[in-house]
Amino acid sequence: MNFKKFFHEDIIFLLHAKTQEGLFKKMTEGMQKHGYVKETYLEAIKEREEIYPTGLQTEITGVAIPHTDHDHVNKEAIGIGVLEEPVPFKHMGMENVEVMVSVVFMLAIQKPDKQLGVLQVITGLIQDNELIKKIQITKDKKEILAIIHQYNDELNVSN
Amino acid sequence: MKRILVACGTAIATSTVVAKKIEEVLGSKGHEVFVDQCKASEASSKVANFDLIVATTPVSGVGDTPVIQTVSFLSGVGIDEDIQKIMDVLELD
Repeated sequence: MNFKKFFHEDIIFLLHAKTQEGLFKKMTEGMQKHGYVKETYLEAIKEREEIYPTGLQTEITGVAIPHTDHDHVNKEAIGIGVLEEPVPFKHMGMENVEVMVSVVFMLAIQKPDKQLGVLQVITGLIQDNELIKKIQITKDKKEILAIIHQYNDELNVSN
Repeated sequence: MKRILVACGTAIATSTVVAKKIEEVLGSKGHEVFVDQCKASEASSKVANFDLIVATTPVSGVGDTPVIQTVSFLSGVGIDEDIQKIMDVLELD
């Protein structure tokens, strides 16, 4: 399985945002500019996040996986946002629970039944504490892409 | 064969991953189960044919069918405990 094609340096964001909305705006603007998502993607992401939040507390940090219907997607990709300071998200599946999110995987994917592989990879990444730590610490987009590529290669070796 | 319904907000991403994970882990323990997925809002209309609902978000209108609400299969926190819960509810050894 090769999921490298989902990740691109131009949609890796090292950013500062005070709110979830600010974060969504910055990431979706970048993803739209590079042709991955449609103009409607931002509103759709915001709407879905409000009803079905995607913040997740892992063992070491807060991660979020905002996503929405494939109608709003042009080209499949996964945007990565690494925040200077964490921003609050609502926690998935828990009412009135907030999680401070430091790493965001913004999914622009087609129908999920065809995307199981890449979704499993994302979950694998989220649950890999060492790897998430590395992504958080480095301040270099190329390095983040290299970390992801290395993860991809290791998966293929172990399979 | 025991039947598990996995429900999440919009059935776009998370239920797919959760369904596969449950199938894999139970499979590795020698339990073959049927797993299907749906949107949380569809759970009440699909529940009749299932022994258990695993949901990442609250579900309602599912009668007596047991519900395990958890995000462990995504966050990685508490997976073993949830697998045990699932096996207990389904009376699998």
